[in-house]
Amino acid sequence: MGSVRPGTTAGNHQGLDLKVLTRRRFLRALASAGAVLPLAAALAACGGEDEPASTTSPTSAATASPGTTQEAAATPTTAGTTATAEATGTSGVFPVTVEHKFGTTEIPEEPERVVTIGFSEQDPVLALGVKPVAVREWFGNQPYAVWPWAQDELGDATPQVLVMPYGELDFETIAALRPDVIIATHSGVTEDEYTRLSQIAPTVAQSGDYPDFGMPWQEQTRVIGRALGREAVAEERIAQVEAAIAEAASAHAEFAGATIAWASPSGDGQFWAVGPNTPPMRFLISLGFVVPDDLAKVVGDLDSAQISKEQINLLDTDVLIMQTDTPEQRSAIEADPLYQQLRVSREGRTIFFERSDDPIYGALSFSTVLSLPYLVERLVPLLAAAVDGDPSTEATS
Amino acid sequence: MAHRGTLPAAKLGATLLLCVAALAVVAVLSLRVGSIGISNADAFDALFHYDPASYEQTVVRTLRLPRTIIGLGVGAALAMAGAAMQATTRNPLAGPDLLGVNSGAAFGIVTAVYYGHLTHPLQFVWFAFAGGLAAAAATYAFGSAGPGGATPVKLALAGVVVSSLLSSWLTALLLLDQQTLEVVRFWLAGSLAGRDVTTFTSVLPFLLVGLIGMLAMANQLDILSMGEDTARSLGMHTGRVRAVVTALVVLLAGAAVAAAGPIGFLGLAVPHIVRLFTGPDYRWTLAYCLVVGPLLLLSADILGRVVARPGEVQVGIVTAVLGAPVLIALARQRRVAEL
Repeated sequence: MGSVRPGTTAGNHQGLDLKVLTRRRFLRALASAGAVLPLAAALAACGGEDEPASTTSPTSAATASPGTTQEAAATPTTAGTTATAEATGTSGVFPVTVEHKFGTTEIPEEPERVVTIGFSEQDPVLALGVKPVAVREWFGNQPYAVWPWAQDELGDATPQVLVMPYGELDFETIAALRPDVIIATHSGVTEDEYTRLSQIAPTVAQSGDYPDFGMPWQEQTRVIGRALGREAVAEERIAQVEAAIAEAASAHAEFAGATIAWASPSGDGQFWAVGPNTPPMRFLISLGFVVPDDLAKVVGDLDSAQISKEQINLLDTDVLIMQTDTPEQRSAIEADPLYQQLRVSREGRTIFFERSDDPIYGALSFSTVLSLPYLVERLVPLLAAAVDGDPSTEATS
Repeated sequence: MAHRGTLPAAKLGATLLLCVAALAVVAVLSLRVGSIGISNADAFDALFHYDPASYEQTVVRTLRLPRTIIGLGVGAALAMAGAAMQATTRNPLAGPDLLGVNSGAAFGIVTAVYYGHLTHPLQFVWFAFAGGLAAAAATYAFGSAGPGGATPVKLALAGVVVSSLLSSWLTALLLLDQQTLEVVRFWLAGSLAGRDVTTFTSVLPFLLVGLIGMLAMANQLDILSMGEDTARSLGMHTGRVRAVVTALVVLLAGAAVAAAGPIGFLGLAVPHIVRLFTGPDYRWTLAYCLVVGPLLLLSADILGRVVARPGEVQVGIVTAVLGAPVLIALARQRRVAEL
């Protein structure tokens, strides 16, 4: 009579343990898949998330201690060649020591084979005149994971593209590349991953002073410059970009003090709002914009946070950047009666990104030393059209 | 079979009315309570004196009202389908998705998005329905194969097989195509929010047929739940009755999942909670499920709106989180074996 056996739960087909990373959040996949996750996971998933701009690690990662000081075992370069002194002034610089979240790393001699395993470090590496042998794909399916603003620096190099879901580093492939140095400043590696990587090659991880994906682009460029023995070049590029940004800021006094938000719809009617502690928002802030207090409070130190559609008025800023995946999503938002009540809708203050391979959107997500000049060129006019509050000036990408 | 703790009919009637009243209260709360605070005046006006220029009233009318309506329908459908499933399969741990309806619906949608490049949830509803029906049909076909026809054990096993198969194909498709994942990911968690009410009204006819049909079958379910032999000896054509009930379950579960995505644990837990009052009498059980199902679903939805402000937790996650301890508690009671 009546055999008692567990029935299939709704959790079965939701058991998508997908750690696929796009510009989206790995934890959102977990949240939607975890029908049987404990409450803590559900609340954590809704408390703060990765952002449309960059990937983030789980909120718990932010609490990782800087770790004990450790000397990364330096893997001897196979070819044993040392670069001769060039105009980049690399002679006599090595060995160098760089500091990061997990301690220090010593790089014994100028690296020839550079592998970037984070999501945007190909840009600073290319900016310093070094061509990596492998880069990691973040999103956008660009050739060699290099976007248009960095194609010049790439030249005819053909780095291998590593497609690794967030949290699943392919150590075998990385080791097979025989790297001399591994750059991971925008990768969110954990201490375990760092330890394994440093057994392959000296690894430069993210700074411990910021959230995992919150290291400012200047500091990333600097530390990568140091690791590659090109600090002078790094400082030069940083100064150039900072000057360009400052020039744009002063040319647009209307940006100063204007509130800005960057959001994307999350599929169930809610929105992800990006927090101020991220490279893209820092760039916008350096142009003079501010993130409104109530929004900043909601997101805090996290990369992004989810807000209910009922609270869409949190996004009613002077300029709103709304990033959707498809034109249909954009139309759906524009037709929404609640959105239409906002000032951003009535006064045409929204900049819509409609596709995930839009280069301006990509440049903003990356916010690196190479993409920022591209942004200054392409995004600033859109920002100006949006902030003037005149619906007739179209701010479309 | 002992009717332990069953209330007498008069008390059952009174308690049912109490539950209806509670449901009314929760429905009103569903309009009043949410991520932002809404005053009574605004909630009232939104329904009867709608001013499209008011932000709060727009929230009530365009966000909370559809959620409430969908929650009422889906809650009733899932609870009734779960009760019926437990009766026909005599499996106290059966839920409306035992036949693979949820997996089938999800697979139908993902396939449609992947091959047909659909982008909007409004387009999903018929694929969800069709997928759910197809999966249930496949489960029934496999479960009926071989000697003995569709026995409860074979049905349950077939359901697991079909669900697992569809789940893995589903996962494969989602891994292959990032874009598809983006479009369907949030549908897969089950939510009353972000669902268009026209999706719900499209499947409402099926829902109503299922609900009314199931209530009409209450007597048969009663007899069926006494066991195969008892039912046969009372002259029932058990095979036929099971087929009809299963079809009604598929209608209900398919409509529910098409409208709101897969919401778990509700169909499994509500009949058990209800039977604490009603005992195994399926006429009362179904009547109570009709009311208590939406009551609990809307409560879970309201909870999801407030626990993670300014974000919300999808109701499919809330029901799973709350449902798991309930299920454990149920499994630990000896009473569970008695249907």
